[in-house]
Amino acid sequence: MTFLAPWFLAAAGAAILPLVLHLMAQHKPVRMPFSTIRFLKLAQRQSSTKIRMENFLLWLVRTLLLLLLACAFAKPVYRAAQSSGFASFLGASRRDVTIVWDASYSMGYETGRKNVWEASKETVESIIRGLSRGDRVSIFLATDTVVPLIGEPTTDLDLALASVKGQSLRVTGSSLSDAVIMAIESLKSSHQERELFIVTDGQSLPWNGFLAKGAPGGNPPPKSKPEPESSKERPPGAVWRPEMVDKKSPVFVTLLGATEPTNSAVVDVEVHPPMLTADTAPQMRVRIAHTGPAQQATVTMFVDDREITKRSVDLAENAGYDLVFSVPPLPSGTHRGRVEISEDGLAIDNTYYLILKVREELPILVVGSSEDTFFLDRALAPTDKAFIKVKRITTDALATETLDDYPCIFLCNALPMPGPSVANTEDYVRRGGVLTVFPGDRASIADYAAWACLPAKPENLIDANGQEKREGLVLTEPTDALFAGLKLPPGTVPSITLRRRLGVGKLEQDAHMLIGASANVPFLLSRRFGEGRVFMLTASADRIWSDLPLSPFFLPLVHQTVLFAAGAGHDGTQVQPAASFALSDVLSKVPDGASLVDPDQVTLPIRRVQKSGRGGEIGYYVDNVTKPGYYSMLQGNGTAGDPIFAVNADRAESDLHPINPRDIAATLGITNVSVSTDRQELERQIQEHRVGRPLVEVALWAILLLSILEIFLANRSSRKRTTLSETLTVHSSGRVLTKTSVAS
Amino acid sequence: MAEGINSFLNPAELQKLGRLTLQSRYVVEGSLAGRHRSPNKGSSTEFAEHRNYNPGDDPKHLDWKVLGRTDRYFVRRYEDETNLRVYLAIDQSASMGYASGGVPTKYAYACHLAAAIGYVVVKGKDSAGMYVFADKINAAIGARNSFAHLNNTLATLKKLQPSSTTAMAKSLHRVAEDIRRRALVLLFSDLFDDQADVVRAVAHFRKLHHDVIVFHILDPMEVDFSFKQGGEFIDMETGEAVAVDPRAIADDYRKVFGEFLEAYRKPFREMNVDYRMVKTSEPVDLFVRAYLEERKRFSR
Repeated sequence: MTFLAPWFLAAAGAAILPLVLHLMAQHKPVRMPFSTIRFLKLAQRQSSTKIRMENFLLWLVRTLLLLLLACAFAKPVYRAAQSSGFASFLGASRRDVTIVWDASYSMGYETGRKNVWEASKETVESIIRGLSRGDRVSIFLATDTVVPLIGEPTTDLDLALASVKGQSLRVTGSSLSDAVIMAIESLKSSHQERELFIVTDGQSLPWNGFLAKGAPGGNPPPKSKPEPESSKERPPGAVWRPEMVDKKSPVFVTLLGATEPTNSAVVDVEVHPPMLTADTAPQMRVRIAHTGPAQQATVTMFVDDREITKRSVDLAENAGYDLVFSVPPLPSGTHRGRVEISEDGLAIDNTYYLILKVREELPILVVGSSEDTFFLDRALAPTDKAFIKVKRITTDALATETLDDYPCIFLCNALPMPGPSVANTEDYVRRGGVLTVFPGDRASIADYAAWACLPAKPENLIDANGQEKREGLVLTEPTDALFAGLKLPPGTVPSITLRRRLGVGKLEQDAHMLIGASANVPFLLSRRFGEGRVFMLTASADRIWSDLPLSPFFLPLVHQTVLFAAGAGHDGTQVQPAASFALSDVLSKVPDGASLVDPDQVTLPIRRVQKSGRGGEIGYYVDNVTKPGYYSMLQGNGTAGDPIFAVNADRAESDLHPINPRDIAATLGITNVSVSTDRQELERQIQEHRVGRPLVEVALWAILLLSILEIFLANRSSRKRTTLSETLTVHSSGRVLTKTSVAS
Repeated sequence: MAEGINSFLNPAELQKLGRLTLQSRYVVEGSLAGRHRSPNKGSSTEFAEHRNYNPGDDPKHLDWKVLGRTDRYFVRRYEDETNLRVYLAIDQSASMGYASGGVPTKYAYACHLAAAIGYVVVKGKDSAGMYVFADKINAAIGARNSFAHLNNTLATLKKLQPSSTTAMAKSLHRVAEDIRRRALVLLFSDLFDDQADVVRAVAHFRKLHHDVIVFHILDPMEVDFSFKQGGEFIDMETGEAVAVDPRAIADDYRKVFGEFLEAYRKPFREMNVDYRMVKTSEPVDLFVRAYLEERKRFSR
C-alpha cells in the first residue's frame, strides 16, 4: 500500500486527542447527598468491568476514526505486487506479459449474441493494447498441441495484435496446463515484472491437467501418430508445479464462457455388426452426452445424406443417453453416415460423421493341404453362401498368388516354404496385411529361421507324451484390437487339451502374447510388422496337436482374426483432428502423387516420409486434417472418390461443465490469482495491479461505520431504559404487583 | 382541632379522611368497647359459642331453645367488641431525610402519612400511640383515644428531625417488647437496614399476635435512579462517598434495588404482613384513601 499524499499522515498524531481530552476531563466531581450508597456500590461492582470495556472501546473507536481520517486524506492506494528496485523508485517499469489463449472448440459456444471465441479475441487484444511501449508479450494457443503464436516475448505489439486477429477457432481439445508451462518457460529469462494471463471459457476439463500432471496416466494418449521428425515445443517431461510461477507475478484468469452452459453432443456411434455385408441390417448405438439442465432433443440418422430415422429423447441433467437406430440393409460399397442432434450453443459437436463400408464378400487365402485346412475351411465358410470366400492353395502355388487381394492369409502347416514365397509374404505383411500362422508336423524348427516377421523364434516341439491335460486359455491382453467385439458366453473359460505345442523363445520387438495356456504358456502371439500384423499359434489347425478345432473357442477366434484383418477390429475410418495425420493408419497402400480432398473440397497433398529407424520404412502424412467431415482420395478426373475416413472432434471437449472460479487458485496451487468473467473486469484488475486500487472509498466507508459505532457507544448509556417503576407495577394503595401477578 | 394535627393535615384533607376507618384484620385487645373483635367474650350481638350452665350464671343467658330440645342447660356466649390500639412506628434515621427535587423528604412524608392515619384512627374511636426510632427509640407515646392526645403526639413528632444512623431492627424489637396487648402496628420506614434483621424484627411483632402494616417509603429517585449527571454520592447516614456515573450503572442499580425490594416483599407476604410501597411523589390523602378502602374491602 502506498500513499499519494503521504504528508497528511502527519495528521495521524491527532489520534492521541481522545486520550488527552479524557485526561483533561478529570475534574472534581459534583458532590450529591444520597440516602444510602449501598446499592450504588453493589451496582458499580457489577458494572465496573463492563464500563471499563465500553470506555476502552469508545477510546479505540475514536482513535481509529482519527487515524482513518488522516489515512483517507493521504490517499492510500493498494497494489497487490510491488515492483522492486530502482524502477519502482522511478514509478515506471517494463513488464513481460505472456498470454495463454484457449483455442479449443468449446470456445465456439454461443449464447444469444455472445460468442465466447470473439469475446476471447477482444480480451486478448485488450491485454496487448494495455501494454506500454517497451513491454514484451508472448502468446500461446492452448490446443491439443500447444501452438506458440509468439513463442519468444516481443516488443512488437502490432505484430502480436496482427497475429491475434488472424486466429480462428481450432477443432481440438485444450491442453491448458502444457500451454501455461510453456508460457512460464518463455518468461524464464525475464528480469522485468511478469504477468501471466489465461483466457479461457471456464470449462473445468482443461483445468484437470494441472491436477493430473505428473500422475501416472495423467497425460492423455496422442490423438494421432506423431510425425517422427516433428519436434514440438512442449518442454520434454514438463510437469506442472506451482513453484514455476514467481510469487510476485500475478496470474489473471478470465473465464468468458456461460456460467450455466447447455450442450448436447453425439459422442460416439457404434456399428453392429462391425463388419457390414450387403444382406445385414446394421444397428447404430448412438451415445449422447449432455451438459446442463434436463431438456428434450431430437436425434436424426442420415446415410448418404438421406434421412433414415429420427428420434426424440429426454436428456437428464448432466447425464448421458444411449439409443439404438436400426438401419435397413445397405448395398455394398462405401456410405457416408452421420448422426445429428438438435442445435445448441456449441454447433461443432452436434454432428457425428462415420463411414459405413459394406462388403459383398471377403476373400481369405488359406495355404495348406485339404487335411490341414479342413477345420479352418469350415470355420471360415460353413456354407457356400457364406460372406467369407475362402481360397485354398498349396504352398507351391503361393509364389504365383497376388497376396494383396486378400486382407488375411492363413498358413496351415504350410512350412517349409521357398525363400521368395517367404519374402513375398513378409512384404505383404509389411504393407499392412494380416498373416496367421498355424504350425504343423511338416516343418522342422530350422524351417522357421527364414522368417523375420514372426513374434518369436520357435525353438523346439514339446510333446505331452500322454501327460496332456485340459488347460484354460487366458486373454493376457484383452484390450487388443483382435478381441474388439469378442463376446464369450458369460462365466465360461475357453479350454483345450494340448498334446503337442511349439516351444518359442524370447518375444521379438513389438510382439505380445495375446493368449496364454495355463502356467503362462504362449498360445497365441502377435507382432506388428511394418504396417501389418502377424499372429502365430503354438498349436496346429488340425486335431493332431490339440483339440482346438473342436473347441467352441476356435470359431470366434478365427472370425475375430478375419474381422480384424478386414479393418473392423480397429475402426480406422473415424479419426480425430490432427495437424499432421498419419495416413498409414487408415490406408495400407497410398499411390505415389495422390492427394486427399477435405470436407470443403480443398485438396490436401500427401507427404511421403522416410522414417529414420526400422530399416527406413515409408510413412504417408497429410497436414491440416482438422475439419470435421469426410476425407476422400482425389481421383484422376479431379473429383473426390469414396470417403476414406471421417474426422470428428474429440468429444471430451463437449463436456462444458464449468469450473468454480473460487477453485482456480487451489487448482493452480498458487495464491496470487485474479479471476474475472469479462473483459471489463479484467481491465479493472489489471489497472488495480499496475496502478493500484484507490482505498479512499474504503477508508471513508470505514469512517462512516466507525462514526455510527461511536455514536452508538457514546449514547448507549443515555438511551431510554425501562425504569424499575415501570417493571414493578405499584397500585395506588401501595400494593406491589409484578408483571406476572398483574397478568394473572 | 389542635395545632399538631393542623400542621400536617389541612381542612380539606381532614374532611376527606373523616369518613374513613382503619380495620384490623385480627382480633385485638382494647380497654374500651369498640368496633373491633376482642379475644374476650362478653356482651355484644355477635354469637360466639355455647357453654354449660354453671351455678351463679345469669339465667337470662340460658339458651331456652336448646333446653327445650335437649333438656340440658347451656349458656350462650357472645364476641366481645373492643376498641383498636394503633401504634405508629416512624423511622427517624438520617436516610429518611433524603428528598430529590420537588418532593418532600421521606421523613416528612412519613409524618404526614402517620398523621393522616392517626386522625382516621382517633376519629374511629380507636386509640393511637407512637414510636419514633433511629438507632434507638427517640420517642414513645402510649395509645389514647382522644384528639388532644393525638395532637400532642404529632406535635412531638413535628419537633423531631431525621438524624443518626439506622439500627432499625434493634429498635423494632424494643418496640415489640414494649407493646403489651395485641395491637395494630404501622411501620413507616425506608427499610434501609439489613433485610434479614428487619424481617426478623417484624416477625417478632407477628409472634406477639400484632397486626403489622409496613409502609415502605421511598423517594422516586431511589427507585429509578434516573440521575442525568454523574458525581460523588455521599451516604447521608455514614458520610461515605462514591463516584458514580448513574447512566453507566443504571441497569445494574435497577437489578440490585429490585432484589432489595423482593427481599422484603416475599417474607412479609409469607408472615401475613401488609406491605405497601409508597413513593413520596404520591399525594398522601389519595394514598390513604385508596389504601384504607382496599383494606376495608379485603377485611369483609
